[in-house]
Amino acid sequence: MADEREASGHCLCGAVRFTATLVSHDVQVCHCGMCRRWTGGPLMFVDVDGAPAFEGREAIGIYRSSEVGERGFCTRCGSILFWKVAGEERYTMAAGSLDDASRLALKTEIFIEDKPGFYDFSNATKKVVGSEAMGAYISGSGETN
Amino acid sequence: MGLMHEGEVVFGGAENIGVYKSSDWGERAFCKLCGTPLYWHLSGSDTYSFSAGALDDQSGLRFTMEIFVDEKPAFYEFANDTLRLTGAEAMAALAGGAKSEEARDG
Repeated sequence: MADEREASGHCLCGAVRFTATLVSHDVQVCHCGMCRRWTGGPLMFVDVDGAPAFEGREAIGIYRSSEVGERGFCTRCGSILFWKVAGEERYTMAAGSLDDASRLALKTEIFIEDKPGFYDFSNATKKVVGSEAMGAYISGSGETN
Repeated sequence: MGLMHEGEVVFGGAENIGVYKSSDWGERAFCKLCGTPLYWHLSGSDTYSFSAGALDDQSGLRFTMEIFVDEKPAFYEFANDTLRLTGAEAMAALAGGAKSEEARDG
């Protein structure tokens, strides 16, 4: 019986492909200024159980955006791939990079205090401030991502 | 999320811009160092859509339109009162705008 949490994905140009085991199909949205600058809008992501398996690693660019976070993207087409905890194999994948979005459900909005006023989601979500959200990824973290 | 622009653009750090030709009619530019999307450009025109997140001043932005709504996955919805266009409608509107530009420029 196939594990429903098994997922695959790729960037726009196909240079980078991955498979991963999702923690769940719950999508989080990050409104922080870094994620909005990095993606053009809020970052939608899913949590991964363990590290993804990548093909085309040589095309992955990593930008160390803060003390605690690294941002992965395709250097050929610019596609946003993942945010991960710096120095750890703790990944979150961009929801748009997944091949199958059919089971995804938007559940949580994080860094809600940074959200600009010009857009809102109508989904019924849990809204969380940044410090509380980062606690799930880094113990003792108070800021920056 | 993009902001439409017609005309000249001045860049600093242009050597860091990566351009990916994503289709016959458009290209996507991003920073090669960090992946930040910068703009979508209608090939052969002065028409750009600049990434809203990259703008220094976002205070006056208004979210007015969604395009390619026929490809939107079901798991999210925006609450804003937007004009919603399918991909075909959006591309037709863009082509209509480009044709006006050609006619104007002679």
